[in-house]
Amino acid sequence: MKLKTILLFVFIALVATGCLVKSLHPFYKDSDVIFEPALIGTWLDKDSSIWTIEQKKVSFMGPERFLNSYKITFSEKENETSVLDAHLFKLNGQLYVDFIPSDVKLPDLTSFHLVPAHSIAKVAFSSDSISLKWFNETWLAGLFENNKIRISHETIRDENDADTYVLTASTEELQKFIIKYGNDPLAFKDNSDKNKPVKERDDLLCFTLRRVK
Amino acid sequence: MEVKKIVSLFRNRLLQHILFWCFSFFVLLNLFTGSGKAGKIDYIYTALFHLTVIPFVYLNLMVFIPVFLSRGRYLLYTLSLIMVIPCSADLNILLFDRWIDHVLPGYYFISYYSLSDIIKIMAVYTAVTTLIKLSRGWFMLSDANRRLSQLQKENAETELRVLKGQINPHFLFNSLNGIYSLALRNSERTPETVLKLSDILRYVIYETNADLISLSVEIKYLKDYIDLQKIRSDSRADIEFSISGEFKNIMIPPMLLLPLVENSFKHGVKGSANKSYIKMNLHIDKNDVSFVIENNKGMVDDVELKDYKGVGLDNVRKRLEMIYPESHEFLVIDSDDFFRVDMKIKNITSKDED
Repeated sequence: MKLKTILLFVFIALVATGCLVKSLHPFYKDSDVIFEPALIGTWLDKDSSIWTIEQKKVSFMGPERFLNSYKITFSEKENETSVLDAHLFKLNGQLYVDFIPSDVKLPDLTSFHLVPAHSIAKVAFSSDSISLKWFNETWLAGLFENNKIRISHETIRDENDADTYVLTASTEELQKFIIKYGNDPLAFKDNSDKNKPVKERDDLLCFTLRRVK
Repeated sequence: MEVKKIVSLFRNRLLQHILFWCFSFFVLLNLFTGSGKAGKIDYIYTALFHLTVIPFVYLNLMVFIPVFLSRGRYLLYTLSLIMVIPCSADLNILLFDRWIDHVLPGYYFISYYSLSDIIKIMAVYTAVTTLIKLSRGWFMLSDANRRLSQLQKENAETELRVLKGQINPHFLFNSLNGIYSLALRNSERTPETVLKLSDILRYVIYETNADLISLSVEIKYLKDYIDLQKIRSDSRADIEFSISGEFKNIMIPPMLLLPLVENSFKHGVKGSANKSYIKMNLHIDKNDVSFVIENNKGMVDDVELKDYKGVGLDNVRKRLEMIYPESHEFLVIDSDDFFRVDMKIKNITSKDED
């Protein structure tokens, strides 16, 4: 599964299956949000897709103003683009990014049937690189299937009898869970395809962006 | 038989506690899972949640309630709860935030409720279990009171039987003394007196076992007794017995009036040579009965043993206190010249009610 596909799944969230943990409620509270100007710029992933990160600004009902969040434009080689809103926040000393689709360009009747979902990734950055590790849905799904985890969620079964899990827990519960189990070795690491080497598996959900400018 | 066994089973305290906690488990499980289907993880969570509730509940039931609440130390009781409830809530949070990973590795729990939410849950458990304990105590007290009342009633009945038993030999003793006196004088009225006594004894022996008899029966034997005493006193005494009011339906305890009349004859007529009198008035007003008896005093040839003196009056007084505790008056005036008893009974039983 290519990264662009994963991002597309984030984009249409609930109706799609994928490897990202989706949540109806954000993983951050306003008081947790921080803004790092160092993230602003143009970045390149290993597939040479372009990540443009800007500070989000709004001008609705008043003068234009900047928010403490980011607008991320993901452009593939074929000029397909996805736009996400991202919030950088810190929990228990660890930096995370909450993603949610933004500016979805779909016909009205289609968009009326979609509910945007949040995803979360651990983040670390330097002046010329950003490391992202997404929360691993395969790991979480295994816990749900084996009745090993207790957190509010809904199970959506598609026409192929495949289950997708959507977290419905409150932000407070989500944060408690991330703080307590965020350092679990499998929580932010891909282990979905056992046939692939560990390195390759990790690359699906854990990758690094390099600064272009 | 089976119902008794089931009732007895439910009275078992251990079973009551087990049933309570089963019910509590069911309620919390539904509360925690909401509209969703409960899975194994929910059962485990609910059971673990109870681990912090149960010790607190028993601390309240076995220490705080008996030591503080039951002894009226309400402030200490309230302070104890104020201190312990937040501690228990804290323990609950610590259990799910920290300790649970060591107890059940491989399971993923967090503390899903805030401190204030858990305090509310603990407060509800405190209120419910305290009320159950207090109401259980109340039921036990009611049961004990009921048993005590039953016991008191049985004691009263026993005492009444004893009092009735005291009347018979006492009355017989006095009457035989009267006949003895007539026989000494070779009186021709001795056989008639014996017959009258025989009638009265029939009444005393066979008809006084009932709790209540018709007032008309008591009056009949009262008249017989007066006749018997008139024979004995050779009509020297002025004896008046008046009855007013409707008495056919009135029911009274047997031998209630006779001891009073007997007492007047013994202390009034018996020892007085001249000018003796006994005035008796029985008045019935619907269900209220009053009986006034007065006699003048004379020299008493006291054949009665000292220990038995006044037994008749005391007997009537005690029986009135037991049978009509709130609805009778019994006034005794013992002056130098006369002796008077004024007895009133209100709302006495009538045959219609009986």
